Amino acid sequence: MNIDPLVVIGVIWSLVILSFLLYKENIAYRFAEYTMIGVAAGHATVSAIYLINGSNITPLLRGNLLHIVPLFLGIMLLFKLKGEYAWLGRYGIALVVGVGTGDVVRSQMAASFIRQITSTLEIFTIRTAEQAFNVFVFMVAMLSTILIFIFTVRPVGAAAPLPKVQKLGRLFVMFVLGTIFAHQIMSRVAMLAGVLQRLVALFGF
Amino acid sequence: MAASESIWDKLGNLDRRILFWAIVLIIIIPLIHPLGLPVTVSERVREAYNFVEKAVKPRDIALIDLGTGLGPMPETMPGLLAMTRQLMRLQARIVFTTGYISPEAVVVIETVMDQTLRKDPKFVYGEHYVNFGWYTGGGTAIRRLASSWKDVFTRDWYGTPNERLPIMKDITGADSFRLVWHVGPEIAWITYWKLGKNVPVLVTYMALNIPTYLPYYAAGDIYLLGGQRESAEYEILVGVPGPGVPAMDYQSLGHLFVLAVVVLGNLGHIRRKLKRGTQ
Repeated sequence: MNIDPLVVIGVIWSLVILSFLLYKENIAYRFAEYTMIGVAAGHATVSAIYLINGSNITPLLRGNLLHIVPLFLGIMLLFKLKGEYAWLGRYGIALVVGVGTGDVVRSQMAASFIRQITSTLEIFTIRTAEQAFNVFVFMVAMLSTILIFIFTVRPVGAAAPLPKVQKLGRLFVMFVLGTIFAHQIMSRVAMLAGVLQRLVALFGF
Repeated sequence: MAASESIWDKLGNLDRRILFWAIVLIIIIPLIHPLGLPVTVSERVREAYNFVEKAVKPRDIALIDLGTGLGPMPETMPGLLAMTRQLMRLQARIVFTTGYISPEAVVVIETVMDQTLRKDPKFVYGEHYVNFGWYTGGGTAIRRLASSWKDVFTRDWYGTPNERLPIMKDITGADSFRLVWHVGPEIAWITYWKLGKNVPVLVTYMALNIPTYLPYYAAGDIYLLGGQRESAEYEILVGVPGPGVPAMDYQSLGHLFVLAVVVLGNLGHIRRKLKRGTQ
């Protein structure tokens, strides 16, 4: 039988990691965990150097002097390691955070906020009885769920039914959480199966 | 006293490791003896498949971007392989990238290329497909890729400069691509490529991330394949056997087991509550 040594190592490593769940924390598990972190950190460092070299140093050496700005800001970030000069690193971080925030506010407002509201309004184009039913359920779920988060109104007078509506909203939230839980199971079972599949294949099944 | 413990009390105090072992056994059994449970194709998956079939013409360029490592691969790999095979059948050109920092993502790209493109001599590296590997900067880099590809990538993952890659003659930015297939949790593809440049975005990711993506799917901004189940469905549509369909056996059994445990746990909880009420 022709066995790939990399598969054997992968299977042994997986079993060592699983031993944490199926048995208890042990020295082999810790060794595997630290190795994984070390390899990932090493790879990230080498990849970063490769990327900085390709996207910054090389163009700079070819005469594109604008690349000196990010290089300079990047070097200033290293001053964060030395307490008395740490303030120098703030300029680079300020630029990254500022650009990032501005970008996110502009783009995410469009994708995750305004686009969602407009698409929600689109559901009111009802053509069939099934669509009408869906819109009804959607509206009840949306309104009752939003009302859960109203804490400033006393349930008296016109607002007397509020607790009952909030209870209904909680029911919808539980449906959603149940769905997320089911999806979690699917993901975890698939991950575990990926490991076990290699194990089973190793023994020729 | 321990002797008076009912079955419900025993179940309530069960060592969780017994449940983990049970799950392991439940997954291993169908791996050894497949059950062949039927898999039906859902509307969402058919939509994605039909879109690709209609939209992609020979020599169109598709971008496959990985935003994840090896962990979710049992879920996403079947869809990834099926999609690559579909794009190959449609004679599209394929570009691979990854924004995931861990070393695993490039390994996944290599695996996909090994199992599909490198097996077919009609597909030549650099001309019909290329692996640009890792980029850093998340959303900012994705935005830059849309406006100017060469500002992010000056060479491919193996160090070949762009000028020596024939496919690069046709790549300038988002406008050069017919579609993006993103495997991961990065919303920036929707923001910058779909809403910004009107490039269709298809997303595959773990089942647990489906709720995050559903609002974007409902808004018509993406095509969505969620988790192993929908990856298996895509495999059926593409018509090439892969790892997805057989996986549905252990998924079904695993779900049934967890469902049974949840029901038993709830019954025990209700019983305990009622008992407390009568005391």
